[in-house]
Amino acid sequence: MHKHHAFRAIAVFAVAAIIPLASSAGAADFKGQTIQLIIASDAGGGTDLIGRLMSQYMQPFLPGKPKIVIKNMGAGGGKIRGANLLMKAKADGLTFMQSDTTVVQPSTLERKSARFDPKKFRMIGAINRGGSILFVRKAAMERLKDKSKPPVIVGAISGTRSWQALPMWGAEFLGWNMKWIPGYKGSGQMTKALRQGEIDVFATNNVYIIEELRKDGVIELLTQEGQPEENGYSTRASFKDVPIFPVMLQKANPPKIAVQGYNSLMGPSQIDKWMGLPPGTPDDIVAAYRTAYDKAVKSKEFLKVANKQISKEIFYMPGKTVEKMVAAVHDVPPEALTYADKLKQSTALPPGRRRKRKSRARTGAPARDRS
Amino acid sequence: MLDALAEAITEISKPWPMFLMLAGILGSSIFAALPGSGVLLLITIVLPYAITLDPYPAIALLLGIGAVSNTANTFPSVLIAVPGSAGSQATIVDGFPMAQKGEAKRAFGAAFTASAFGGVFGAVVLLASLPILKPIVLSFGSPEFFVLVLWGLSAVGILSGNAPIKGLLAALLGVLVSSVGMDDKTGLERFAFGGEYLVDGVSIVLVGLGLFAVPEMIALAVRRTAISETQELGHGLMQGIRDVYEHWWLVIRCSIVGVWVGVLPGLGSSVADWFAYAHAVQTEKNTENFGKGDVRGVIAPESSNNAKEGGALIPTIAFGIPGSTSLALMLVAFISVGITPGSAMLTDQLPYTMAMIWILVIANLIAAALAMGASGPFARLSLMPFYVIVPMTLVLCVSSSYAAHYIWYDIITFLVFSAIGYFMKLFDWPRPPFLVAVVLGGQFERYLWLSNARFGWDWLTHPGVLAIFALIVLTLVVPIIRRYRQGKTMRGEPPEPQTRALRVGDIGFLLAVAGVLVLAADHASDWVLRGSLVVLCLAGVGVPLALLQIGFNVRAIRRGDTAPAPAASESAVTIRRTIEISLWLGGLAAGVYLIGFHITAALFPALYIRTYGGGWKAALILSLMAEAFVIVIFDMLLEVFWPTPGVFELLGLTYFA
Repeated sequence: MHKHHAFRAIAVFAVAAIIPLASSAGAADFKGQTIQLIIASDAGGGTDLIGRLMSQYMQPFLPGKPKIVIKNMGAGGGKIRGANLLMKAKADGLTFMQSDTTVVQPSTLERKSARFDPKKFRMIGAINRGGSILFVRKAAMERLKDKSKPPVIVGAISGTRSWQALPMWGAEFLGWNMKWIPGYKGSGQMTKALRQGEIDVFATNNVYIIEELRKDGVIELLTQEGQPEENGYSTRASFKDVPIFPVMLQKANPPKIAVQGYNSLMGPSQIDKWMGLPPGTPDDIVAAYRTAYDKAVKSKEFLKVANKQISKEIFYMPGKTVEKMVAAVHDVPPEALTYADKLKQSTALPPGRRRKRKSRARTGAPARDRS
Repeated sequence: MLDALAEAITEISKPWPMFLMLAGILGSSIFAALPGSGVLLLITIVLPYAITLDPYPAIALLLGIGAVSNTANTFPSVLIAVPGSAGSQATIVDGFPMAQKGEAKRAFGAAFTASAFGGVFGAVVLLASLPILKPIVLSFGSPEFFVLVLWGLSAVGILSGNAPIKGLLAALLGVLVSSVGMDDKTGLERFAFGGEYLVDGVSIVLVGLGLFAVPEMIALAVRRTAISETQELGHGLMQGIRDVYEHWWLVIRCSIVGVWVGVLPGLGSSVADWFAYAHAVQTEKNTENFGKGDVRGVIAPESSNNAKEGGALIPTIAFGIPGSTSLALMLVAFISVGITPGSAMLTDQLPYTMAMIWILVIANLIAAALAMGASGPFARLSLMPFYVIVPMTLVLCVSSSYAAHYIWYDIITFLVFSAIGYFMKLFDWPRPPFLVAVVLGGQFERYLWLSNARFGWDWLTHPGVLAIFALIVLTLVVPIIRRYRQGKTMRGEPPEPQTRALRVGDIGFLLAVAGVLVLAADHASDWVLRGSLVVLCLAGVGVPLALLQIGFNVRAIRRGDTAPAPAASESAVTIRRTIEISLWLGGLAAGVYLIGFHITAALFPALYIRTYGGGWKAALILSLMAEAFVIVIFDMLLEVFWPTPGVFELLGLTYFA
């Protein structure tokens, strides 16, 4: 009997102890606080715009309506610097980050400077702008499938852009006749080069660039990335007549390893512009951010501005989904990454992986996590 | 077109757009005059507001800011050798020596008149080229870009003055600095040493500050006078305006250079002033005073950097390809308010294009008038004692450095380039070739690679390439012929002999330069040839050149071809004062690291002023000014998250800012 009472007393104390914990856990409050938003890009880029816009519309929905200040990290190295910073930031909800596909690509982790593990970030949500559209200069179209003619020239940036998987796998499995020239600085420079005939092929998800090139009769749209759905892929609303690349690829019946390699490059593209918190951020804080993100992204005012500034098509992915997608992207067998690397090397693009993964695979340690 | 012009002026002359434009001009002028803040920051701040406006007010506000971003940045360039932004670095080369000669007001008069003219010229070119916008932009591919960059780099020879080997070596070092960071053609992180800091390359702002501002401040602290060695201000403003009138042909040529640099997205915003400066030195007569305070060295870059803004609008309007980050931000705002870049800007939306042209014209005239009005008070700074100017400039330099990325490494990088700049000045190495090469080195490599990868060597026969190449030859050959006719050789004035000690020191510096090139080549030898070629070439050319110069120095020492050494007491004073100011600079950086920016900014000027004879009142006022600068710029505008200073971290204290 005494024993029974003792258990009951312990249970009461335990419940009494848990209740305040639970209530505090559910009450993240940033009243009077200043929160730092790390934007892993220069001011003015797509990632920067989305970060600024999201933070502006999230702020009223965050508990306590905290002040949000923005810290741009710069392009290129800034993306890695931002991710490194988030990896070691205090998990107190006072630091969060807007970043993009580069940071969640498995190949990025192979860079010497990368000291983070995207699987450990607590994801708030992501915005996908509809996926890349690959296009060809009209005058070069006839050379695309005729290997007796000079190859069409694919302009590339630095080998890390996920859209580059489209022409790479196209050349390998769909017989596209291509030559690669990496070294361009960005979409603006490549748009000009395409108009000049210096290059013939590249891809972007920027609908304004595509529409302008189309209006001037410069390009033909070749394929699109496609949005993964339960039963296949969907097209972008503005490009319903453009074939979906994975469907085209499927018809060519590529080996499984090739499909996995393709997914390792294109998977991050589906995530696109994501927002995250440091590893180990408590659930209540993560929940507060996710709620604010959800409300912001669904508000009519946000969509009105975002459709003008970012893309006519905005796809929203909740934080939990993003975390699953990041895990899936990194759950690729090493052989598939090697396959992707070999394909990159055959196109004169730098391989993502410069070290053998064997030792890591053996120890089970995440790639380049030195935090 | 005339209807559109009339509609545009009617719309923007309404009170609301006019007010916004004036606010934009005023804000832009203030931000441009404060190194470290930058007009880009101002655009970022007003962007959320701008996207809520109607199209004409949005154009008025944003272009009011953007059009004049290179006007007021002349103040720090001329007065304290601190580039107000990347677009005003070339102005230092002759602007600062003019201030030293007591001609700060003349430099301002010339700079602002040239800026206004260049800005208006850019707008007129934009208007005139509307029907042929697209062919203009599309006529330049990678090969043409490469030859243009080559043209800019050819200025290195001229900018080297009477020290051609050292000038070339300085340029090679500059190219080496430009090769740091992510290489787009290979994906290599060159010279990043496993860290992320150098992946984006070295900030041109840090290089400019270190190379020019600090060595001049060290010289001032050693000399212990005001910047103006004559202690006179003169009435040079009108003289400066007359100078522009007298050199009208140079102004037009350099404005054209500016417009073209703007038109060609991809050359970068910091190129226009150097291209124009180089063009002036290559084409003008009697160039011996360039670098020593020649007013044409101010007129040339200032004519070009505002003209560039009009030019940069051409690709933005024609294709929606912004030529700079600030234009990229403006583009976002324009799209948000319903202005669609592209073909529509020449048809349905032509009045918007015309409004942009009007704003360019009006804003440039107003900004120049404002800057002229402020010239007097600013010019007085050149008469202030060194103990006021040196600490305030150093605080400004360190804070501007920190503003590059807001991390400690920026201050370390700044100190490294300060040391390089100091030794270059000490051993008579020309510094402009270094900076020009940092600006153009990356472009040189990129466009050479793209041209070869795409066209093989066929690009050498492209008509555009041949035309620009002919222009280069012309600009290089004409001065030679002119000098030949004048009976002068191309070797220029013989260099002033150095003392034996400086000759020996120079040998040490040359050995260090050769050592850096060898180490860099060794480091790069592991990379794929596509990524390492440039570094290997630098070492291949640079090391023999360094050895050759060492040989010249050794021969001069053996022959006794050296200047007489100053009196021992004089040398001792110079060395002591140099060590003192170096310690002050080191102390400033250490203070920022250990006790934070706020406390250091308040303490440093006060301590310096009190140490070197200033009164308590001056110390207090300047400390408050420095503190206000840090609070307004960093805390209020930039809203910087400060890293916890060392001492606070050690004691477990929370940094108050």
